[in-house]
Amino acid sequence: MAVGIVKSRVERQVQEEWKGLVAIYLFLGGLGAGAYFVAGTAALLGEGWAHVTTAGLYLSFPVVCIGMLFLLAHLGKPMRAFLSASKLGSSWISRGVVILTIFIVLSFIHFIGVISPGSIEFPAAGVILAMLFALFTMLYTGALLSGSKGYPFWNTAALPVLFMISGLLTGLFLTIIGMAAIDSSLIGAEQLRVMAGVGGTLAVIELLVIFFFLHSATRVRNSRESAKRMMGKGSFIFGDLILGLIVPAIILFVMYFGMAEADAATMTNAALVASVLGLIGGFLLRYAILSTGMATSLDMAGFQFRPIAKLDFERAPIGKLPPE
Amino acid sequence: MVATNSTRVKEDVWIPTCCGQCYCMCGIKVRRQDGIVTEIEGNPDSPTGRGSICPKGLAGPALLYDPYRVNYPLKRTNPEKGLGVDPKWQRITWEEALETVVAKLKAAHEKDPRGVYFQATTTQASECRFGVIGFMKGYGTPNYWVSGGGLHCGNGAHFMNGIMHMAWSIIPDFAHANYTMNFGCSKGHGAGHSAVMNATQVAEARFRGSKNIVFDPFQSAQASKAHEWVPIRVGTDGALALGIVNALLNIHGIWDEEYLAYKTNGPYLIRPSDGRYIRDKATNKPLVWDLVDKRPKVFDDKSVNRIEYEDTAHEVALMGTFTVQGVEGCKPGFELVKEHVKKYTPEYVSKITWIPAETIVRIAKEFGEAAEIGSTVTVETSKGPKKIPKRPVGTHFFRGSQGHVNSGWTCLSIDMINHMVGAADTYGAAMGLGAAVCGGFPRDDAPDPEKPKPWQMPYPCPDGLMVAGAWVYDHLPYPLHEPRPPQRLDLHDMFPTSIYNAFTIMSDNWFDLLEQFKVPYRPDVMINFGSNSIMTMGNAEVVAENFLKKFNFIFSFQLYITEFEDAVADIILPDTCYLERYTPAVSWPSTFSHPQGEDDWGWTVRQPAVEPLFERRDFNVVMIDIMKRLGMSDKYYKGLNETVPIRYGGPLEEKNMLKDDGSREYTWEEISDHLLRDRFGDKHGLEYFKKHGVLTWPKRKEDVYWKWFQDVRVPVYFEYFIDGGEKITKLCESFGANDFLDWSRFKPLADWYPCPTHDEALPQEYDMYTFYWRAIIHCNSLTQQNPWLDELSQEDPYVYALQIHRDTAAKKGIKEGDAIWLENPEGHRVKGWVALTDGIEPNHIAVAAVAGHWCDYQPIAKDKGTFFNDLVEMDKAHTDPLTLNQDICCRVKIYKAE
Amino acid sequence: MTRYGMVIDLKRCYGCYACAMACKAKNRTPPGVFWARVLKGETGKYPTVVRQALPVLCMHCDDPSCQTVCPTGATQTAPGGIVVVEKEKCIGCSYCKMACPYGARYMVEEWESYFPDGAPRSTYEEYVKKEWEEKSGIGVSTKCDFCMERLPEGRLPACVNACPANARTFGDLDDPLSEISMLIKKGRGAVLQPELGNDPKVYYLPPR
Repeated sequence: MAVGIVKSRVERQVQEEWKGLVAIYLFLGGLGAGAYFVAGTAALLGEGWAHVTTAGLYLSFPVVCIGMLFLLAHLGKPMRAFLSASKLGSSWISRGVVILTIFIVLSFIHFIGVISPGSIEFPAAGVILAMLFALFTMLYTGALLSGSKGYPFWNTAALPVLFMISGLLTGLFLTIIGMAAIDSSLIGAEQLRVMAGVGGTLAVIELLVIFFFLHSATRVRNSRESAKRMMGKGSFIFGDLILGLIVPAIILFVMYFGMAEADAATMTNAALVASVLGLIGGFLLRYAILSTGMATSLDMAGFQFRPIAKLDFERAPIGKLPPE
Repeated sequence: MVATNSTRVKEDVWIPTCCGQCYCMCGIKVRRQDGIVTEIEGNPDSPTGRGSICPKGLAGPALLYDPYRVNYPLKRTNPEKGLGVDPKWQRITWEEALETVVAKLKAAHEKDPRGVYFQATTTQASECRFGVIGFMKGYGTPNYWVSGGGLHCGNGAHFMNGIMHMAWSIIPDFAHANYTMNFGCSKGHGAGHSAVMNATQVAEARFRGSKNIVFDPFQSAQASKAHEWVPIRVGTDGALALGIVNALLNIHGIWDEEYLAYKTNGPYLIRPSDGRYIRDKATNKPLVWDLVDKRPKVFDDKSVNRIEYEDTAHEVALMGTFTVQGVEGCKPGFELVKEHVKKYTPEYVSKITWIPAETIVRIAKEFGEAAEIGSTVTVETSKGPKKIPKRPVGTHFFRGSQGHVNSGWTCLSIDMINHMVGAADTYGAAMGLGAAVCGGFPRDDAPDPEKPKPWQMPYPCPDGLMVAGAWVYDHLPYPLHEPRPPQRLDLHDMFPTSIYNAFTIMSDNWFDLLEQFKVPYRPDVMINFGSNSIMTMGNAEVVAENFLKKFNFIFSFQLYITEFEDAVADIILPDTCYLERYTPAVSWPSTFSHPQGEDDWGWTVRQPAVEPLFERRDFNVVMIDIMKRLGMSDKYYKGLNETVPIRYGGPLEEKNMLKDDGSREYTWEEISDHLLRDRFGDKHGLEYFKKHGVLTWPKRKEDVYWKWFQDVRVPVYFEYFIDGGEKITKLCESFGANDFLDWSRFKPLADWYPCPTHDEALPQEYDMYTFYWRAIIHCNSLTQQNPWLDELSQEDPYVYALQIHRDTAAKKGIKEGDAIWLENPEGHRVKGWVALTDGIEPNHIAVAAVAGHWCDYQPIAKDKGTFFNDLVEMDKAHTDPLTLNQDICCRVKIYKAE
Repeated sequence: MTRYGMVIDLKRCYGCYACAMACKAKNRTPPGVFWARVLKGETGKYPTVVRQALPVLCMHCDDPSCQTVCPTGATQTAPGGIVVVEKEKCIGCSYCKMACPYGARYMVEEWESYFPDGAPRSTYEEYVKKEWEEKSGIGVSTKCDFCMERLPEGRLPACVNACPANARTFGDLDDPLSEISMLIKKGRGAVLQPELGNDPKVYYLPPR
């Protein structure tokens, strides 16, 4: 007798609530804020870095705004989103909404000031303030996860740091892409070399933080399984670690140390390759962390309870209804 | 049915009625709001449930409102029948449906009424007692069976419990027991009769610190809660039980002299030459040896018979050798038992069961000591305080241990442990479940104040052995049925025990058997009530081809189009479910599902929470209609009158009998009202029950702990089996059917017989034992289509999976979630998905429930779990000669499915 | 002050799922939603292996992390210490679900029938769909509320009512003489994951 069409016996303990949309939101939030941080730094460095500033500003706040749209799309009741800043005292979402709003307003003013010179003069103090909020934004994307008590894998201070580093690095990459897109002829080889040096360093730091994050996760029983799964994910190992961090880091260091004689165009091409890979990696990092988040197991009397591995059935098809 | 907006009335009522998701008959309250059943709760007023309820009962709305329910009569338009053939169902009117079935029944009646076969479900057990029995008696056919349920649990367990406890089942008195043993059953852990109340009592016992030892091949619900889980090889419970009896009697020297001497036939003297009782020449009564007067006496001589515990009597011999009536070497039955079990040494039993010998010896000792033989307790009876034995130990068993070719003797052996220590139907002991002793509902206007109904009392046969005063069937468990030339299509009326079998009707030479045994008619029309026998019996192909396709016409009262209807039914009549109908008696007959214990008696009725939806019609209403159309109403009423006495505790008063002289017609509600008024007086007719749902009254202590209040004995030496065996052997031989079955199992002393699965000659590749277990969230095949229960089944790690030991799987290269085939030596195979576990004996595979449906008309049930029964063979080799119970364990080889 | 809580005796519980089903039947939760749920665990090596069920529900924590993270104040602690969601305020961000260590939160994006898509909807299903949308809501966080609307009528939560093993006791934790307080005290009552500091009001008595 024919029996059973089931997908497989799968484990259901991995969360599915925060996946695609939230991963994109967290990625874009950090990315945009990172880009602003790069732009702000360039603005403070002076006129010579104007192209970097422009590229960063052009991209940062729209990216963050798009990120916000993904957040809204994730909400069950997006029309009520205006309620979400009600609990600044305790909720990271409330705090995040405020941080993001301030950041968007500041970076928008800065942006207006740059695209229509003379309309608004954004003071250096404003830039520093906006950069501060950009940092907050990047930290917030991690703090949001680390505030999730139900998910021990995320419930760690390493995540805000990791997301901040990753935000800065991807922001740098985004800015490079923006520079090339706006007008690659304005890109200076020396500037790129400096940016490559900074980026390479960030990439190394990020690798170290990831290592620290995963290593400490494997030492905690409740998050060990998540860490193991994350390390078993091809998209994370190849997509993020190798192609998204190690390869870009090598490119960037080669650019910094080994391409002193190269012209701007070659440098740009190399930087673009690193940047595109880095951006993909940045997204995959967040996706990997989200999609391996497992609810804490419940411990009682020597048992660890989790929804156990089960057969996973398709929703029943309509079959045949008795004739009416 | 549901009021439209303009006529909508705000309605919010609770209707007290009875659950019907299984045979447990828990009292429930159903909430109806604006014509919709919105909520179901347990009814605290009902002693069956006391407000608790199981997941199946709670899931009632999903049955009532399932869009896949059959709502209109349907007819098959494709004459070809069989598994996987589209019947091309077509809706017809009730009129057409009834005209068709009545025409078929009329024609069948003219040919030979016995050609009509009633097949029923065990789930709607109380409905069956009216429509089915009334029809059989009224129309004139002896052919009836409940598919599956009956042969997977009934023939062995119910029959043997009937002999020893007059009850459908047994269970320890968990309110007072301190040490209990559970042989392959989930009683007290979600299944069995009165499941909810048993679970309550067992949970309380655990809380109290009562110890429970569970013998089971896997970590069942009961094993996981046990004080000790002892993994056992499937089908060997009988050997274990005899090993424990041997350890008690011959290693530890523990037995209850008083009990065995006065409440069993243990002291009856046995003639060595033929194993029969030595009988008194004048009275023909069996003799016992009076140790005081040093001479034989008839067993019920006042000087040697104790009815109540406080009575006094001379001691009688349980052991020794005596010369009686000039016959030397006469021994009491008990001594023969004691001698006989000696061969079940711990080592021998260990080899069979795979349980360490020292565990068997230890558990026997613990049990024997916990029995506190000699201890008493005083209970307050209706005649004042009485001292009775306290025996706070008990064994119990059900489908797991009894579903084998050794069924009958296994059941008796497991219960024998209780009887050796006097732990039967007394305080703390193993008790009949579905308690059979009831002093009746006390009312002033009872026609016989001495015997108010429902009156259920055992009485002694001439040999002093217990005859049940009430039973679910006409055919009592004791005395044996007199073998006679068969008139039934399953030949069953020639067998001495139980009520139906599968090996005859499922055999591929069924008609040759009928020929051989000179049964002059052939199957013609089948009426099916609620059963899905394609899935509940054994291999589906065999059931369909060998049995069901032999019928010329099949019509079926059913809730769904099941595999049965899809394969073989010609007409489907849309039945009501339990929330849409009346049943005037659910906890009776013979307290079928009444909880054991001191809590009140209760008589529960089932009443509609909503009017039948769509064109559904209640089975019993339609049966009345069919009989009227057949012109057999009178006979039907007469049949119903006849079903009452043995099932519902006494005969009907003249004024409450249904008139069978053609002077009037009755509706189903009127019939219900008659029965209720007769039992409980005019104040407590159907109107009373509609309002209250249940009538309760206090249980007398002497009804609960009846053993030492009744002048009846139970056998420990089954002398009368010799007789049954001789008769059936002779009868078979008279038809030229020598060696039809191994009738040598009709003998006075218990033995364990190996199942086909234990056959050491089986090829080595068949290295796994498989068996099925009862998932708490399912009952038979009905509940599989319930989407709420389906969801819970998916929540559970094992309900839809095959449990295999991790190490075994690793050796075979099988991984978690793999699809595998289980194939038996006959070449039948089923597919399933693997769940790895440590909680199973490494040579076993556990399969749950009647799952693995394939009919498209039940899409929720379809393709979930494994259809275990497809592996079940229904031939002679898999049939217990003693009870004709069917073997439901299998040896299989396993291999990966693509 | 009344502080409602629950004790679940794991020794009595045999994992029958009546609580989960009672909750479902009473609250008409759609597929996949279990305000009351039963988890099953296994520990040890054959033959000293043992299985155990763990019925879970909202722990109605005194310091609920779901309430901490809720950005709108939709999650509140009602009188009696019952943690509730004001569905009009909930924006459906699922943060509460992520913050709850006990898996008590469920979001329903779209009401789904228990029967296959395309099958006709019964009056009952129309009724429960409407009720779910009105009482619990679509796109918002939902959870167990100790069946709080039944409490004033003197009726117990559905899961407590149904339990065949009488494993569940509901009552006032602030009353030292209540049955539940006595059980916790005498029966070594413990909460799940105390290290998280949520101070749950659902206690468990040990299985053995």
